[in-house]
Amino acid sequence: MALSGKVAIIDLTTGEIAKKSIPEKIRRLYLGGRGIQAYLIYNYLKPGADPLGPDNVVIASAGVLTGSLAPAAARTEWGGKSPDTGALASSNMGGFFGAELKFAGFEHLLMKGTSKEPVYLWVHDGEIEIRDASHLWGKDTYETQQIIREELGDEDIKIACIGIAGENLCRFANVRTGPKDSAGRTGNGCIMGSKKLKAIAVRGSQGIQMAHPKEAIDYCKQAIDQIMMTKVAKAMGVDGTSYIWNVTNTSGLLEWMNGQTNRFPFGDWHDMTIETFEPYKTGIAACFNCTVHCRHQYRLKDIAEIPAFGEGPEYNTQTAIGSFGLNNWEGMLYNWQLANLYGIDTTGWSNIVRGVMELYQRGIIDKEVTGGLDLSWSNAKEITPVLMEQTAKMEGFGAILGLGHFGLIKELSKYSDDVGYYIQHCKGLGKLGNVDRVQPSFSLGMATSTRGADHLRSRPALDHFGLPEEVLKKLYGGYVSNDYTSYDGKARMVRWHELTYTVVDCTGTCKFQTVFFSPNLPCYEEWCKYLLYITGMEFTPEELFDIGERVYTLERMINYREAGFTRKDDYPPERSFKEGLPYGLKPVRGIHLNRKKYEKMLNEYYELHGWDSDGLPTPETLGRLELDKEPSHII
Amino acid sequence: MGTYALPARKQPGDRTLRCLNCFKRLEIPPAAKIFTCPKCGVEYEIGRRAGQAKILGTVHYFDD
Amino acid sequence: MQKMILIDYTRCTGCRLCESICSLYNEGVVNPRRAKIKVIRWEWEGLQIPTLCQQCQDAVCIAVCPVKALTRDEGLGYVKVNYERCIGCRVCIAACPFGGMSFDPVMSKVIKCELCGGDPMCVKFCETKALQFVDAASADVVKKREMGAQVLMAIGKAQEEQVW
Repeated sequence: MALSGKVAIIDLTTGEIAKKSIPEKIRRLYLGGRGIQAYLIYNYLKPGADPLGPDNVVIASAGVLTGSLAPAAARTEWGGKSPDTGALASSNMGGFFGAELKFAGFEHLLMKGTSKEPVYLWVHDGEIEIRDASHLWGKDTYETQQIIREELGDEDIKIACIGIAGENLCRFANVRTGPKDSAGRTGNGCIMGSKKLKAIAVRGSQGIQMAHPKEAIDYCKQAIDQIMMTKVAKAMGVDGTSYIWNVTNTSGLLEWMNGQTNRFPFGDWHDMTIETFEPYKTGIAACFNCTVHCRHQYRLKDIAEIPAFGEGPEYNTQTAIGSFGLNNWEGMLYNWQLANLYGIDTTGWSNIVRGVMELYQRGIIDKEVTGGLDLSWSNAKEITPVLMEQTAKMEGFGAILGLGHFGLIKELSKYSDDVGYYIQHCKGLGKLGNVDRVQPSFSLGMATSTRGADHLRSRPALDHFGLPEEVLKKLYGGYVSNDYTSYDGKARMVRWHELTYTVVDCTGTCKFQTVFFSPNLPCYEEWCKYLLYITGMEFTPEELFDIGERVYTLERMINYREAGFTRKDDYPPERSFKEGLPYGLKPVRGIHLNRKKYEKMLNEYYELHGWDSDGLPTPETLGRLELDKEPSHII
Repeated sequence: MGTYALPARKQPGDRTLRCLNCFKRLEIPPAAKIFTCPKCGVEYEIGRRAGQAKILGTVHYFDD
Repeated sequence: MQKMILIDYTRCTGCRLCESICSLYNEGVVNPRRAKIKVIRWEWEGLQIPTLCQQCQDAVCIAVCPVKALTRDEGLGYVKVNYERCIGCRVCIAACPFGGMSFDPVMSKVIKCELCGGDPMCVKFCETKALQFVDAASADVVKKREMGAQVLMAIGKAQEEQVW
């Protein structure tokens, strides 16, 4: 059955492994995936634990629908306590790992304790073995997967692993599977490295039953047809997420030189479009059960020292690594490939690098601080691979970069009080290379996201579409302006999207096939049907919305408990309030956030959530969501 | 709380784009490589992918 | 008029929806291990190709079966297993040059593609049309048409760039 995936509790200190079923009560409260993971974190993480110590946990959670026939039912959530931010670690990964985990009979793997020697887990059909990984330690993420498959004699084994960045405790090291899939942000790879857990290998031959097979087949076909009729699915299928770059660059919604400018400063912008990527492209690939196939396959030219084949590019990395002086695909793809091999989060790393490059530009740090490295923008081509390697090995200046935003700011503040202004973050997590300061809804979402500056938590793309206001009112249950530069009703919009994407992450399907991109893509009505036909569970849209609310609030509680995050941490970087951008089309040029309007929007946001003026859930809210019973230790 | 599952409807057409400056809906002629927004005058470079028109960029890239 | 499942590996994205729907429709469960179609991947080279029984006219599996459990249905054009006769010796698995016959680990029986009774589900769900169910006698026209389009586009492009 789709619901019979077990929770495995693996103690790496003692080697003990316990397997538990998920009671229906927990299903109805937390559903699965990210929801049950939040529950497990709150219950199993020792309050105040050292993120690099044995009391931290790292959890791999497939969604309740992962591995089923639901469109793109491929995703796995990773989480624990972040060594990067000191608060919630949370990251979502595509590919084939999650489905295989479900086929092996598990939905969640919770790792606690610390192993003395490097190990990897071998998970197969209900069994878990802890195996020696000393021969894998020091290998990159491609080799690790290849060696394990050869060792265990099966090319179809799916593996989640860390590269040397995780081994060396780079705070934003990621977990990797396949050529490019990553649980990128918040340092889950670092937690694994601190536990000396190199990899998790999975293979399963237990199927997933559908509660109503015939209805599941008919309905999923209908859903796929609905998805493939949309313009965005077609655009993604051809260009991948990079199709967004043209839109944002044209508007002036991309940041370069750490947000000082929004006009591409390093050459001809044509050299950065997906059209000029063509010479490297060898094909298009997809995640498990996905018909949108939004990833390219590429081959680097004239490369001998690293594998030439990779998958991507993604818009996020294009804007991240492309934001500090690399002015062509050759440079970007080469560094992207390095990041994937080392196991480094490109978004977090890039945000830090462009921050220190601005410090260097302004003379706040110099070659003495950087260990002789020239961090001028014009030197990006030379310096990027060097910094990438140093960060992965946590040596030289890279050892400071690899401390994450909080660590780096602490380390460099002795050179100037302004360091915190130029190293931009929310709750310790770096931001995308996108301009958010002109768009109140995007800014609010980024600032209040429960894992730090992030767009996947709540980005309301619908805000850009100029939909009729009656339509928005019906969708959001209240007034929301259809002008993306307005603050009116945006608190309501952001909250709705936060909770909705939380539900998506509980199901384990891909956000790209939901209302994340388009009002014509699946939403609550569709998910209720997926859940009914596939798992047999009946939910109303309102009940799913409540689950989103419960999980999101619990994540907020985790952040408060572990890092003391409250209202003071719910603001975009100061630059968003102080500086308008010099270029851009009319809606963008010269605009920045208005502090008074932002505060008002934040107050409305708290009120809608049932939180007090400091951003903490009120006793009534805790009672209504049954969170006053946590930690309940039911699992 | 309302939900909004639209029945799969016919898309407005692969030649319709939105002006990124004034948000007016634009109908792009089939072979056009350049298109000027009739409302605000911004000139766009037009590309095509899989039969769909797309905005590649502006002809004058913030050069005013 | 016999039809065949025509495979175009250049269109395969490796999503494996074909494996999921095959096992669900035929065995009642989503389990790629029990699917009759399999996408073989060379993950680090970026290559993937769907493989399944080719429903041979002069099938090796039919020739080697010691109890004549395999026969060819000339109406739909596929090779079918008679489970009343099959003794599970699995010589057919060894003999088939395509790996078209597999062994279901759960039911302990040999399984092969039987075209879902005439309306193959893998073809229905393959979004990129890497799998097409076409008339066998004109399957070549499908490929010729695709190649013709590519040639015409290349000529058009060359003319546009005034190379020719």
